[in-house]
Amino acid sequence: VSRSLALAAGLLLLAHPAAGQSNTIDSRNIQRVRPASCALSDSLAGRPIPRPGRYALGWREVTVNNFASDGPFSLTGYKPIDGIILTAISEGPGPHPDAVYALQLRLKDTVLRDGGAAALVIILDDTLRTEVGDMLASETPFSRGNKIDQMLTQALPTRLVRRMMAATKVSGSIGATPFTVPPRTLETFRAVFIGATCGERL
Amino acid sequence: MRTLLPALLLLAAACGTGTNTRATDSVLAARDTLTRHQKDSIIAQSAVPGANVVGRAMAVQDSGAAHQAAVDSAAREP
Repeated sequence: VSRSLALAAGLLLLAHPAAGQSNTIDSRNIQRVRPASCALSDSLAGRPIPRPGRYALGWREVTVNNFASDGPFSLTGYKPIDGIILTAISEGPGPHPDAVYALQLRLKDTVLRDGGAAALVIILDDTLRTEVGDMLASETPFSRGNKIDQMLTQALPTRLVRRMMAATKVSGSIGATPFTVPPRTLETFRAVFIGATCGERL
Repeated sequence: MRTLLPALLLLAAACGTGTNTRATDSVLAARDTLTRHQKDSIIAQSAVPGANVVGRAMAVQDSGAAHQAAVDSAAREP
């Protein structure tokens, strides 16, 4: 219960309505999802994906399905990266081979990162290196002193997400800061991918 | 029969390897159906926590592009 409350508070704190729209999340609609893989997700990943060992979060906004690997303030990374979150966004019901994926990293730094300090690199199984681009940083309400608590966001290429699902190790760097996606977080990534790709009902 | 069985097993293994290679190739060759701009727009309009920054960056980028287009257009006028 406390976890759900923290998640709901986090989502509502960070989901600022944009101009002309109200994009807040009703916490009552957030579900825990741990779907089994389907033929489409196995095919796109290039190999069968075992059922994830952990849950992701799913919620629906009108006709849009959202799957997030965890809440924004859950500790899903290793210090100094506090959070690593994969989100999938897809329109309408049914399977979605072309869902939009965003990766988010949460960390504290003395400056709000931009440019080269926010350059995202993903490395799969210590071999396949992809320079994704510069992430965009937004400050969370939890900065203290000279430490700016920030969430960095970047859309991921579809083929990189698919390769990520078949990888046993996902690591990378944000600027000069290296990170590794913990195995338990990678399991939630797989739940996100399967949920979006296979069209899990929300 | 004793020689046929290992041969069949080797053949099956070879077929399996070939299938995996093709699958990996198709994954690598996959192309995004949406452009980066379209993806950013979808993320910006979503309720993904913290993603509103993407919309702000797009607005700045679009405004810069519009300004540059106006400058280019003015430069072309006689």
